[in-house]
Amino acid sequence: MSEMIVTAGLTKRFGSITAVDRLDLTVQTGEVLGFLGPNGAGKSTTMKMVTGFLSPTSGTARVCGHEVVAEPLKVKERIGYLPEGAPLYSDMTPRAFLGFIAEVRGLSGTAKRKAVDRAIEQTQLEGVLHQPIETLSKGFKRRVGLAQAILHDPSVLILDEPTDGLDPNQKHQVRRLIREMAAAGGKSIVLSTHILEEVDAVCTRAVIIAKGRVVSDGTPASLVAKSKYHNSVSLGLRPPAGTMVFDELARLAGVAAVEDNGTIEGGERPLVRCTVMAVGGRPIQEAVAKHIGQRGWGVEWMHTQAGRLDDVFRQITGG
Amino acid sequence: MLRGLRAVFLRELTGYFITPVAYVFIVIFLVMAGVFTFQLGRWFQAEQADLRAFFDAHPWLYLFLIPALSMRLWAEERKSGTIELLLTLPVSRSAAVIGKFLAAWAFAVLALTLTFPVWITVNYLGNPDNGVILASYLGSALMAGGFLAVGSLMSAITNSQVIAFILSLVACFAFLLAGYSPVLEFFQGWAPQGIVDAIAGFSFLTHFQTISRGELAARDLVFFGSVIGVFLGATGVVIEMKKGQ
Amino acid sequence: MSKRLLGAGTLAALLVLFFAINILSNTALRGARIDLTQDKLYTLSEGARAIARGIDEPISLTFYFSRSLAVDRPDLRGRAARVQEALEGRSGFGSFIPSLSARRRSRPPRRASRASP
Repeated sequence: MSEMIVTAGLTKRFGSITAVDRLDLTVQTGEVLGFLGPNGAGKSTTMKMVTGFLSPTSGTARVCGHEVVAEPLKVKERIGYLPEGAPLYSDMTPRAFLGFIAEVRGLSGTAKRKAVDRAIEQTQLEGVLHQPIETLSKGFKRRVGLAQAILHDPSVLILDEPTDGLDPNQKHQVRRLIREMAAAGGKSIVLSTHILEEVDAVCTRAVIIAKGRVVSDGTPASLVAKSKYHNSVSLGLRPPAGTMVFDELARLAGVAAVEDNGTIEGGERPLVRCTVMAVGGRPIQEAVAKHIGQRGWGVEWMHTQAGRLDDVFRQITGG
Repeated sequence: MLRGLRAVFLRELTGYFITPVAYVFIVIFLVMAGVFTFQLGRWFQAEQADLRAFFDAHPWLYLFLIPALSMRLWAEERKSGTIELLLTLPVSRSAAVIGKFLAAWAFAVLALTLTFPVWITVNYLGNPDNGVILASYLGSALMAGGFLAVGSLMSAITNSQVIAFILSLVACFAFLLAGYSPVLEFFQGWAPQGIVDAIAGFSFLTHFQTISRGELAARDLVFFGSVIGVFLGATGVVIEMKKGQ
Repeated sequence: MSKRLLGAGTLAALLVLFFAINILSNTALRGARIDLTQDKLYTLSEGARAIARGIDEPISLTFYFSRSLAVDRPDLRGRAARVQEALEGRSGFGSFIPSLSARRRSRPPRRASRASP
């Protein structure tokens, strides 16, 4: 079974609002799919339908071949889900809570103990095992939520904003855990996020949805390539006075435009900062470097940018 | 079909004892039962070796205390968001509804059992009909179950525990006094006599009183059983319906 | 939309079922009961049977009950129903009593001078 999640015409309407609009999506084994989109785009709603929490208004969702509305229990067995906000039974301790989840998942005895211990180890909950969950910090709470999702080593992981509210270290750990799980093989992971660098760090595929529809679907690299800053060259130059830096650079082959990032006076020669944009995102650094060398301008810095995801995001979602 | 029942039941039951709520409830129940029996019921003055006064108090105690217990069954889960966790776990809806109900019922029965000192007292002071007392305890446990099932439905209907409490209170009151004036008058104006008589037959109070006289009649058991069955079934339906939101 | 309809329908069905079960059991299960009292208050003792057996002529038992006065007392109405059932032979007294050829009257006798409802 290579197609782990398949949605066909998945739709959800709340009264007059269409939250998810005939969504067609297929997730294969081994993929780590990043679900991006502005707030209210329908990411969480889609996840709630795939996991069986909300019933679709129309359309279907299949997980490992089982349809969610017809065979809800089979679907839920195979999914590990971290809902938005990581809700937990806050009067329990992490150990008791994970024990409950393990029992619900049909684990008992040694298997249960091993699964719980492994989840604790992977999410580093050792220090807080016996404190009531309500006394834990947000970061720890989210890790407990993650632990319950991975406890039964599911073939499908659905994580709704898993690093939300975590500090940079914790974010890094969670992302590393996700990468490890993906590397272990045989899984599909879907995570929704607002953090664009996370998509780059963790995902093999990025899907942007807006107003309930898919507006972009491809690898993070291909997404980034859509940015107008893709392969642009950022320069800090000290040309001799009177040089028409921008005009010269703009006339080079393959240059679409030159952005003025401001000139700083002072010293023998002023510091001219600019960004040279490439036509069609094709590499231009060689041409630029050659020209600068020929003209003998002083170079403070020169670096090529891959592109900024948030520009692409804004471009695509019309924000 | 009842996948996950045991896990839910155990979790809920232990959950009662983690918080102080459980102990407060038990203390209040025992104290109030005592007050009703010995003071208001004038048990010592009556000088009768039975627990009439004690059991007479139960329906009224339950009227206020059971909704307090049942209001957290579902409204709490909705409020804290854990309902999303519960309903995406491989637990069947029936198992979730029944598991929670059974845990609440087990807890109520525990509170009831803790009144055994009263039984010991009456046996020490006199020679009561213990068969009647046993039947009364059974009837009381069944009645508690009935109230809880009603409360479970009210809790599923709303997100607010307070509203759940009030709705349960009103519904339980109606059931308690189904055969008496306030409730009957409500129906008497427009419903045919047959219906009014039928409604009277749905009073928790009369069924409980019958059992606590010492006779365990099949139709009293069927009554409480059907209340529990129907209201738990309705709870399941409401939970499912609210999934659309 | 159709889901709400299905839900509402199920709830209505449950309500009907609830009434149906109880109305049915009220008639069908009339006699089924267990007497848990220590003194077996609701079961005819051997002594009573022996005495009654020793009587040759038929005994008639008349049961008077005023529904209108018992309007506010469902406990009395319930008690009356049980007495009636006992007379019909559907209780812990078995078919003993009907064999004594009892006659029952569940409406107030026309001659009774009681204030009507």
